[in-house]
Amino acid sequence: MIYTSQALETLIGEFSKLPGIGRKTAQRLALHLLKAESEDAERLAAAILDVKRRIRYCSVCLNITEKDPCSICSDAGRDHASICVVEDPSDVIALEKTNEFHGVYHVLGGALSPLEGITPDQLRVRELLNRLRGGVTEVILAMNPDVEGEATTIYLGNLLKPLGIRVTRIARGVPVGGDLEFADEATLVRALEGRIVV
Amino acid sequence: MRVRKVQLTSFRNHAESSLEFTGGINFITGANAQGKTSILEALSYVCLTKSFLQQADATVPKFGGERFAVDAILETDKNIVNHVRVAFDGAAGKRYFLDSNEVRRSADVIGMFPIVVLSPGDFALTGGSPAERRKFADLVLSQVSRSYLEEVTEYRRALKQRNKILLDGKLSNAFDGDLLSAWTDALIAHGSKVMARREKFVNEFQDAFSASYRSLVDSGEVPGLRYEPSFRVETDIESDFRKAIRELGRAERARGATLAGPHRDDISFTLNGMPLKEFASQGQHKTFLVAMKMAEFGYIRGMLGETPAMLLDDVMTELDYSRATRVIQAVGTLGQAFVTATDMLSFDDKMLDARETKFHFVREGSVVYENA
Repeated sequence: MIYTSQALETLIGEFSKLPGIGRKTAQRLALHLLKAESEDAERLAAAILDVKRRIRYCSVCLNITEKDPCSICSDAGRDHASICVVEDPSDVIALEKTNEFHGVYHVLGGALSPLEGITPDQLRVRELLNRLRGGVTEVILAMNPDVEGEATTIYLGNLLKPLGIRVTRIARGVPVGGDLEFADEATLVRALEGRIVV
Repeated sequence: MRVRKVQLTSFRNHAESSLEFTGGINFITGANAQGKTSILEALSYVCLTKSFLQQADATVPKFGGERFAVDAILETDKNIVNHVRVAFDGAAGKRYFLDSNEVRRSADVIGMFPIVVLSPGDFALTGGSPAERRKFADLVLSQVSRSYLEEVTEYRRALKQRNKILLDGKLSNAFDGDLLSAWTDALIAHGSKVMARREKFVNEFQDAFSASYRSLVDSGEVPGLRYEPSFRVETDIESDFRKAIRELGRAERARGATLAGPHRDDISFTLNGMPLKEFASQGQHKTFLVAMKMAEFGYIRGMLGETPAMLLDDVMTELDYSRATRVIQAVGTLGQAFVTATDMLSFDDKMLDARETKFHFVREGSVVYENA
């Protein structure tokens, strides 16, 4: 039903397609923009277009980037013999925040899930194999700790181990800075299974 | 654990019903189709987050509505009082609140307020399909171990994914062996843990079961329970699981489904070493069932240190008089019990003298107290 104008309705409709935005929030955002200065609205519109025009996938690691290869892949100071394989670009951001990993990444674009039709062909597995020819010594598998992530880890492990490369997976356990009593039981069981000698 | 109060709102045929319970035996009486079982079902919602009747939440709201709510005051053995609210709305789904904090994962509350249910649907446990017995083991283990619940959930997920690969492969006649093998490993990793837990459970449960069986039958009969995996375990579960999958490879591809693993487990019952299924009388089946439920009560109490409440739905008609009396007396002396029946005459004085009792009379979706 159109109460005001077609233009406003169209904007509300577009906002409500975004994840986490319902009809009410979309309406609030649209009315807010209507009240805002024209320059503000133009900056927002330009930023949205820029994202689509300037951002592409890095031809090496398949992370999102503005320049190709991306800043991580073109950084000579990083260890290019060590590749950390992750599911999504957001995982790269999370790992980069630690400032502890100095190797490079490979973004698979998801995890194996036959139920959703995601097979190795839908993931960037072939691209990963192609990268391993150039003196890579370690591949770190950093998938999400669910069944799909686990199967992906096993799949890649079986694929890479015969190539004579050191293949590791990240540990699973208790979060740092939290009390042990608040960790959920499944996490504690995994942490116990992965215990190490002091 | 005991339920002090429960309030049903737009729940089945109850528009608004409030009940206050005794810590002893609560008799819920009334004619057929008045809403007795619904009260037990509401208790199942607050204690297990779902109905024991295996029905969808959307079938629960009172005719014509989309919502229902159950509020309850629950008191643990250590006298901690909790207010639990389960609210369902056709659009938003089911939400569970513990002292007005929302609990998002059911695994976080299952086991806090344990219950044991004996209802007409359970009579398939001893004579019905293996799925009934797996469901039994899963329900008991989920109440005593949160990690088991997560493990079994992950196993089911891995099984679904692997079955999809097998089915797709069967239909297209093309198998990606490496992909299948990755999911086989995930299946075996989770499945082996599920199986080890079930095997341990059956062994631990055996003692409690024999004891409760002997309290029901005064004879020298020796009852037994045996865990029956879908493949022979000779060395260890994990390597025998792998061997079974390897041997079944061709059959799995032809059928398009996973043919070995805990989803095909069974638990067999024996009497004097003979399989119960083949020769036992109706009466012996009933005795086995009652013994299983009494053992479940003891097992959960032992593992959690929390006394379950016993929900006995329509047992006076399903069991014969003496078995029903014994089970009510037995659990009535240990904890809180809820017993539905069509008439009060079926309860004898011995039962009523045993502990504090209270009668709740249900008529057309309302609860009536005669002397109140």
